[in-house]
Amino acid sequence: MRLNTWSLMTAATVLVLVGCRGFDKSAAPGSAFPSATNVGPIPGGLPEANESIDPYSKDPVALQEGRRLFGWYNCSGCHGDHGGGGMGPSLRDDTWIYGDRDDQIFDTLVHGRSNGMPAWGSKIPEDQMWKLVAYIKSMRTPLEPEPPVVPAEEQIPIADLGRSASLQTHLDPHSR
Amino acid sequence: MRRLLGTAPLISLLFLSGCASAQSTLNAKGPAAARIASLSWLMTILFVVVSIAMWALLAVAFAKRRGSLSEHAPIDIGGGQAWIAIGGLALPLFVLTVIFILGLRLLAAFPIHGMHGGMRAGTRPEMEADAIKPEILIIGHQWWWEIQYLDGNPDRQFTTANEIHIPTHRPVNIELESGDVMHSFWVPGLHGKVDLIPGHPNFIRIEASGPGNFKGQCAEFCGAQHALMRLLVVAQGEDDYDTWLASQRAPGAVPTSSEAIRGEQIFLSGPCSMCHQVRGTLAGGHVAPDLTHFGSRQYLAANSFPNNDAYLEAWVTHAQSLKPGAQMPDLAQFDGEQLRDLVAYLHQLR
Repeated sequence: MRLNTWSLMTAATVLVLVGCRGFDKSAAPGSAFPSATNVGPIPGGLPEANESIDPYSKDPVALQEGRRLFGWYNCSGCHGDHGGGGMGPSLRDDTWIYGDRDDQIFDTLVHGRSNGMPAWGSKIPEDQMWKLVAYIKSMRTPLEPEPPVVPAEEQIPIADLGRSASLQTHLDPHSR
Repeated sequence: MRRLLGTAPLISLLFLSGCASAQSTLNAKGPAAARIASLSWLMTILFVVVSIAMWALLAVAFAKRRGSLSEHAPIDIGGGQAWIAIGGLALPLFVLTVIFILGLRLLAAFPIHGMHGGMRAGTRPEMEADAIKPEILIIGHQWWWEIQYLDGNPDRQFTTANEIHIPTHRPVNIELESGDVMHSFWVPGLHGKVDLIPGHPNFIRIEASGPGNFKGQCAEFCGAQHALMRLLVVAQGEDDYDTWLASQRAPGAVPTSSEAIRGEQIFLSGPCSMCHQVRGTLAGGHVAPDLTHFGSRQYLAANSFPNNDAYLEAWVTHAQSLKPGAQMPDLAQFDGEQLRDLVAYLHQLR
């Protein structure tokens, strides 16, 4: 291919156009609001019109991390194992008291809610917060992650737990 | 030739330097490691001698003249069978049998699995599971060591992480468990490897014959940061050990300097208390290493980096750059003042 002025200008134009796509900010992590599509009088637009602003929404590694963090930060203490519900509402059902958009779940986590949900904004780094949001959104969808390793406390059959007190206290995280 | 010989002592130093390092099987500082090291030396010397003999025979075979192609005699196969019978069968059989027996005796001398009392349960009642009273319980996590010092009196129990202290000249029973995947406890200067298997407690008995710092490492691949899951065993005289125990049993030091007081507020109100524990404060997280006496430890991040201000600041703000994949997140939200205060607080937790 001859390097003449014409081909150089074509190449430069293509490069500039490709570079412009990189300025799309709607997928940046931590952005406060989704890019609102104007579809009439509904504020914020219809739910389907809003793209997911969670950068980890479909990342399987991040979903695994979210699952780990759900147990790590003891969310299951109130919301039950795998978010089934307990002292806190179930995260797996269809009722979303405070909304099921990514930014609404993020807001719930960061600022807490009045009926007993603590504010975790200063306690959980933002990166991990988005992974938790992604995990919660993935529940009951085909994307929900499986445990990578059966935890040690789930490997001992229930019937054997009474046999050795030391085994139970050592491996049961809630007994410390 | 003289000059070549003159460099031999220097070159041999290169090889010998491995022997004296803090994490070498050949630098044995306990009775178990001494037995392992002596068997290792025996095998090494024996195999080197055999190898030299084989190379010499090969050299002789190369150098031996056989005449020109035109007068090439047919190969005489009548006289070589003695070589094969003795050198290829009898001698290796003898050498390997000797080493095998020595190895079995070594295994039997240090039974690791207390549940059946080791290999000769009937004759070793002290190795039955009920008889073993572990002093220390080690729970392996990805990628750090949770260490609990046990005692009949719960008042005197405490939890620490990554750094074990033992008294010298006395065997110490350690129970090994795992909280997630398989790990392996290996302090080459003191003992062989014993695995930490989830759901299956193992026991090890280590003894140091003198004071010192013994470095170890996780010896079973356990994930992304298996290489930075290191151990430090500090052997101290009985008096020093008792002093250390007493100081570890105490709750976390109350901060006195203004920096450390501000640092304690940052520690308690920020993300640190979500995962870490400092006894005596409201920080009660159990999933991450206990920091009650973090200032007294020599290293941080499972003995991967020295425990000084610079590395601690780097660890707190960018742990994922130092140990990618570790459970410690990047906490870059502190500004310079806050970070200095936090580090001051952590380092005064002696």
